[in-house]
Amino acid sequence: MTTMTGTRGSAAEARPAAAPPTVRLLGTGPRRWRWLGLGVAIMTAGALAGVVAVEQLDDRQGVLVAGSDLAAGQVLTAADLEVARISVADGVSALTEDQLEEAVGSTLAVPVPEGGVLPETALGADARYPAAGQAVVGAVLAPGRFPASLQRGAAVSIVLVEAAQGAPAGGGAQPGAAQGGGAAASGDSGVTAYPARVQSFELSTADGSANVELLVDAQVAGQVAAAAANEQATVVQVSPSGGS
Amino acid sequence: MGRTTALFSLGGAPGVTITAMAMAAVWPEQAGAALVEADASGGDIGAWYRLPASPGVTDLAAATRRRTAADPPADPLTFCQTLPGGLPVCAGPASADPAQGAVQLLATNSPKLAAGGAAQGGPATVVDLGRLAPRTPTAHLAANADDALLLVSDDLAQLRRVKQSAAALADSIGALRVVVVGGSGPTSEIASVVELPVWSGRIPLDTRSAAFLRGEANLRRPQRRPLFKAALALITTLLGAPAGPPPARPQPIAQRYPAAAEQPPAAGGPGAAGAAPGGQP
Repeated sequence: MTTMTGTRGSAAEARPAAAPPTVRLLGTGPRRWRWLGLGVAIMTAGALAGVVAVEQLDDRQGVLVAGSDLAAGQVLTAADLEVARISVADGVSALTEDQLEEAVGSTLAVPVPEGGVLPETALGADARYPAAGQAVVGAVLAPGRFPASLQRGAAVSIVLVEAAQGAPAGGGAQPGAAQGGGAAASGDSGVTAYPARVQSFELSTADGSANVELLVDAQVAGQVAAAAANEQATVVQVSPSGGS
Repeated sequence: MGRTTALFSLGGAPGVTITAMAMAAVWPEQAGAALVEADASGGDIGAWYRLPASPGVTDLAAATRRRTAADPPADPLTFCQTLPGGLPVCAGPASADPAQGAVQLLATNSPKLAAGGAAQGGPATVVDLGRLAPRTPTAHLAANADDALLLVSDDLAQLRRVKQSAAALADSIGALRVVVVGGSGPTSEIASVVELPVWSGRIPLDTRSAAFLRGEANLRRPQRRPLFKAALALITTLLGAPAGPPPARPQPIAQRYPAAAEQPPAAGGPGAAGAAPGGQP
């Protein structure tokens, strides 16, 4: 026990006045151990409270990401999807792990690259791909008809060469409303260009040709498809910012 | 001025220090009480509570030595240390040699130990004198107290010693009262035997309270323990009685002559008691 030493000053005055006879002594003993136990208990409770608080501050949640490159229209299987724990900010659209069952078996509305987060709009009735007024055209481009730097997502112009084909129908040659404002830049005879975007790009190692999918204005889709089939289409990569 | 109560024994270690501490700790007056450990054979409280040697009884004795006649008496309160809980204690030196010197000085220079000086409403003083032998400074201190309590164990040898010392003690110590420690039952029989005023209660043997007072244990409600209840009852008895007669030496001696005349020459011995101020064993 510790002693309060020092000369006696005002112990008598400091005592509560009119206190009925009590014992002016303090003992030592087990109560000290009780205080020690109480201190340990409070420290433990504080540590636990800290752990709980940190756990609750962790707002990461499981979201669905693509396990591999997923194409639009693909029926999702559980193998296509992975769960990643990330912190999702408000306003970010993402499918959570709770929606995994809902996602499996449904059709993917938009293409998602490997590791990409599946947005909520990737599923469901309101998901539309391609969007209204657009169409996806597949084409096999012979070597030389596309730049080597071509890749997925690139902004391109599709140049249709109609050299000996006479006057084209031209019905769809006003794609002015199409995206990007590149419009049909038909100047010289027989050359028409339409803006497009590369949806997928696959280079064939066998003959150097490329299998591409192009997102084009729906009105010119048929024209582009026909030209591609006749190997009259050439893809020109343009600046993504819009200039042709 | 606070009341001065001296406690002592004649032998047998009935627990003078413990009883004195208990009384000082429960002293019911608002100013409380200070404990002065003027035991000529050495004190224990300093060791129990691991107090530094100074301030204490040695310093108090030294202060009385410097005193001139014009100064107020040295105040024991100035040389007290405060124990946990607020009890002021003027602890004595642990060994007999310095303790004896200090008690000698106190008895010579300031036999009336009054804490707080002569001021009204000051604390009471409880003096632990330890074992008292006749014609010693300890006896002088006891004679100068307002109340002198002789603690005696409830066993035959100690009671017989008290009985045989009674006359000499009553001679030298005015306000003497015998307090029986231990045992049970009323003390009237003891009173009739020892021929001294005997307190009607008893100080119980309370080992837990004793351990508490030694600073070795804790009690949840010490005031409910028998020792502290008895100490409070004893104090109440003392406070209820008029303050002890002024311990002027001639008076009891003057009283004693007719008493001696009534009694056949049995107790005091052949006339030596009156001559020796310290009394006769």
